[in-house]
Amino acid sequence: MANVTLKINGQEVTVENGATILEAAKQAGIYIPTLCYHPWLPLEEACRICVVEEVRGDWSSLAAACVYPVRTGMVIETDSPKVTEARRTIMDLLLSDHPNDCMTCYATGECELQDLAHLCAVKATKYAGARHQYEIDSDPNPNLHIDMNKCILCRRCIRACHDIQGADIWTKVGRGFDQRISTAFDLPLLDAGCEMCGHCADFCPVDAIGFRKGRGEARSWQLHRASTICLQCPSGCRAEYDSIESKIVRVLGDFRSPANHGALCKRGRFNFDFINSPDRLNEAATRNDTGELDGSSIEPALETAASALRRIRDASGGDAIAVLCGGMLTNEEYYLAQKLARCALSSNHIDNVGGPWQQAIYEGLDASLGLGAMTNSLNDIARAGAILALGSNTLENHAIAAIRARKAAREGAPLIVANAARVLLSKTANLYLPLKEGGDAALVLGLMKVIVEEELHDRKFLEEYTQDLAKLERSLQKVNMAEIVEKTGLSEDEIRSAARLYASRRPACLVYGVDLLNSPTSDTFFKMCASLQMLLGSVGVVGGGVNAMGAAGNCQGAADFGALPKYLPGYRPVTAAASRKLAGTVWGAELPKKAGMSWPEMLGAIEKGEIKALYLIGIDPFALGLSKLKIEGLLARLELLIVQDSNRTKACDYAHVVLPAPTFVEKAGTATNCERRVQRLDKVFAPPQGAPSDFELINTLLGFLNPQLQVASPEAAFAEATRFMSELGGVRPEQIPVEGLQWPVDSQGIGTERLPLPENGKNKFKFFAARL
Amino acid sequence: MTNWEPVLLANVNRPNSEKIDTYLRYGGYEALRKALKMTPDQVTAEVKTSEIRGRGGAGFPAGVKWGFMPKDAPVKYLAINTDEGEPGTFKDRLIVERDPHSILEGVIIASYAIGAHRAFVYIRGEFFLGVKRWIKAISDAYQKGFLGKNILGSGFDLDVSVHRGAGAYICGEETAMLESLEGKRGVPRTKPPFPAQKGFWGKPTLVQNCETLANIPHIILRGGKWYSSIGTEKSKGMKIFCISGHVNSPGNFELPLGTPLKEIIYEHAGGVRKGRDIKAIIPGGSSTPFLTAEKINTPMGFETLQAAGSALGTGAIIVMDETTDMVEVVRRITRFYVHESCGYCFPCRIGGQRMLSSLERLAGGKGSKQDIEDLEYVAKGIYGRTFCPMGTGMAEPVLSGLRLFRPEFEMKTAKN
Repeated sequence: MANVTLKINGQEVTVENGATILEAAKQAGIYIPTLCYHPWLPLEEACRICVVEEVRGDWSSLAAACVYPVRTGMVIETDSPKVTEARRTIMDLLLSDHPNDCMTCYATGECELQDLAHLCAVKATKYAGARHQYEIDSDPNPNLHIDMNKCILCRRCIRACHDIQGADIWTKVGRGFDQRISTAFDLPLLDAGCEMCGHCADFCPVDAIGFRKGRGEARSWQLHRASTICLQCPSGCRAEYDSIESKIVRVLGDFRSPANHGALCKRGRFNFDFINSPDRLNEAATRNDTGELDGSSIEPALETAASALRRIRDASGGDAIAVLCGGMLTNEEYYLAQKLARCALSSNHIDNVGGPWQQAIYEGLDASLGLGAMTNSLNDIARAGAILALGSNTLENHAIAAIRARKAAREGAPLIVANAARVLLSKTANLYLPLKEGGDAALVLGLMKVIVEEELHDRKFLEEYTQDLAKLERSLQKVNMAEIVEKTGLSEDEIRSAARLYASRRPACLVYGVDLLNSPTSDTFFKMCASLQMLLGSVGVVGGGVNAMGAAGNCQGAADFGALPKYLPGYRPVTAAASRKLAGTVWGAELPKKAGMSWPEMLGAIEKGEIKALYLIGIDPFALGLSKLKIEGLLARLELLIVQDSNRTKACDYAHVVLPAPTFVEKAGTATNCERRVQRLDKVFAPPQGAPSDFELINTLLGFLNPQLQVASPEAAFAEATRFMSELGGVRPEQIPVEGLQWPVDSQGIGTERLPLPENGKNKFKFFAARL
Repeated sequence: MTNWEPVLLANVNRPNSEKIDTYLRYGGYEALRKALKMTPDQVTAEVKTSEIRGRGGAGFPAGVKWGFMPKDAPVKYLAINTDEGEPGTFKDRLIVERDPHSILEGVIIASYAIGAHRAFVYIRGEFFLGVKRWIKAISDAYQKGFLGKNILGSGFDLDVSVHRGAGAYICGEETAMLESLEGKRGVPRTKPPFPAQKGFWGKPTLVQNCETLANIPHIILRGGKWYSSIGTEKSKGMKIFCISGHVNSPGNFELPLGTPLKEIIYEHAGGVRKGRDIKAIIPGGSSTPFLTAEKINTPMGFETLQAAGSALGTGAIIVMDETTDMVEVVRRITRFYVHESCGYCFPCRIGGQRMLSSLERLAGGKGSKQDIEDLEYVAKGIYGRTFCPMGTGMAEPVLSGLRLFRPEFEMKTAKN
């Protein structure tokens, strides 16, 4: 693009053609105040605060800097008397219809209106006349405090609700002076369909839409702000946590990570009470001879755990011990947990809550495409030509993917949602398919059958980039449509029209979110997903791909770092001699040769009495979707149950050793989101009473069992893990930038945003025979 | 008194003037036949030669605007602005109700020139009769083959439909009109891009006032040169002036641009009621600044009125005699604009209300000197600083009222 040179305040600035005056000024380090403008929202050009003077010889005019494009030779003044006066007038007018109760306002100190008034040296004015009188706290929702008296009508809330969340709940009502922000028919937020993402409050420059938490408790300058990664789902959003005295009061989006670009979901935004909960475990405990839990300091409890583990290992072998991790540990913790299981306890029975699915995703996609994880990036979903959303209730469980899908749909991409329940995302969908539970695999097959039959596939792409198409075609002929109809619960017509719609625009983007309760755990399913995308020429391209997202927070990292029964870190099969040899070199230990059990298998083995000891790290077995009775029975059978968790769960009642652990905001380390993005976690604040992290707990346990296996620090653990993981290209955690790094990382330390197309006919994408 | 043969209003007083047969009997659609034999560029050139300027208020040269339409764009639109809402203006309504075919013929010729195959009439919702007449005119034109596929065997296709506004003044602003036409809230768009680049559904769109379009058949039939021979140096052609207020015979008068204000008021509109003196004149609709009686000899043209400190606007002349309370006039006009403010940008939304509060206090005899100061401060703060020209239109009457009649405002505060 050509460059344009202009003068701002006498300073020459050269910017790209098409830039706005505001952008040019920013580049030149010249500050232009703004109000309705937000860099992450569409332009509104309503407040006129950002006006600047464009001088043309002996006359001049005012232009809104946020939107006005630069021209060669333009002469701009940003602080001339004309500009200052215009800004002051606007501020005068704004303050004339504002409560100006800064003394008690929650936003004081961080209010953009207040800052501007200070900048323009404007006081609350004297204008008599109409003022708005709205009810304070006018909406009964649990999270947001609404006080429209403070609203300046910048309409950022409307833009955030539309452009980021795609919910379109906020809207403008009335015109002129009586314009106000409200919902359709002035319904209460939740009745109007609000999804409680909280973006409106996050973007509100004043306190018209604010957070309930912390109100009347804290002043903005008392809040401690720290940024880390949310581990409550696999999206890996970067968020800013505002806390006071180690108590979180609100969570704001952090725009620096491309994973979320400042967006957060309801859970990430508002579900933080467990961190400050009275149910936090704050001391270790061991069960005494009379069967009571006795409080203990951590070290002796760990020693008790270690000796009990050693006893069982020596008596019944490593196969009698299993380690199961939750979804909110760091990569380093998963790494250490599997090292503990494999080396110190001689057991490959190590898994994480999302393991069975992550393993299937890896095996399916690696075999088909050579990259065993989500092929594209979350951002790519917004650039899709057509979208098929399968699996979880996307908006609830994989919200970022869902809002990106809605963004693509707004740009014209047909969105197909297939789900047993009429999930929220189906509201935006062009086509909703009421799929029979567990019918995902059959639907994918059905779609492929139609695409091949009706020749909707991309022949050129198939020829150039794929192999073994014949295998798929032959097998598809044998697929019986009647069976597909039966398994999906859809009519043939529905499947056909869905296939036509999905194939109507490229790139086609498959979004699959794992649902802990009813997702298939077979690699075949993901091979078929890859095949469907290959047929449509939508793998290896921007906006396409198989976008499979795991079941829980850091389950991608768990799998990458070896917390899987079958794989060492870097997906090295434990059954392969070469892998065990490498492990021998790195760890100096001999590993059991047989693959371990996945957690559903572990539960079965506990029932049969084969597994006698279970070490739970950050997981509540009662939240696995199984019956309470069954879990109670299983836990009662165990000879040894170690529960290591941040909060008291029902499992503690059955535990022999209880160990308190920090929550994810109290940890440092790395985590990997579903789009393979390795990001750094920083402590928002220290855990209560300086309790040790999961990493330190496992490490101490290792010390009791075999001190040689201990790792000095999380950084050292990461470095050790990279010896197994060529995908990480030898990167050190401190080198990971704030926006994260997507593996595979090359030797120059450059990550991979999306799976590339095969080059020179090598490593072509692979088709497999269709199987249900 | 100069007597001009009416051009635009030639048909309006004939019986059944709105019917297609009447229109055809007096030479209707002959211009279309002629235009379709010309190339689109020739048509545009003819319009450029005529030097006709838009009659909607802004006075932008129509031929130049047509020339802005990109030639290579596959889909283009024409939007006809019949959302006449400026207080004092009632010219479009007359043509639409009495001679809709003259506009429609202009529509077809303009569409042909710019290569649009779809045209939309956006009409003010309150024009009930106008809506009926537009619809009837369009369906009759379809029957006679002036619309639809292959118009008059030329191979040119055009479809026209009518869309009613829902009662917002701002929808007369071209981009707000396009928003409304798309089914959205009528709020102006950011410019650039201008409608000729990105208009209706993001496609290049020509937005044209219906009086402008009604001129087109005459320009094509008699030639651009003929048209540009009428009027002043920068204001060419015939114009319908709407005269209202304190005159003896208010109404629409078609006269050449450049006709002196005095002639229009005293010779055509029958002079001021009861032989009183004139205090103020609004020459171009309520958003144009006031003129005092001493400017009565100003010719009604774009450049001449600008020199006199006002603007031609829509050509709607409102005459106020010596008994008029100017504070009350300004209050009423401001009340209109405050009511019609869409609320999009800050200065217009809050500033309008603040001006109105001051004006209400002043007009009610409860105002103070501070109110006059505030009024002036806010009006200056709005003028030229709003998102769309409406804010400026709102500030103009206040500023010119204060400039020309300040003592009247001060009188009102005398008691306080």
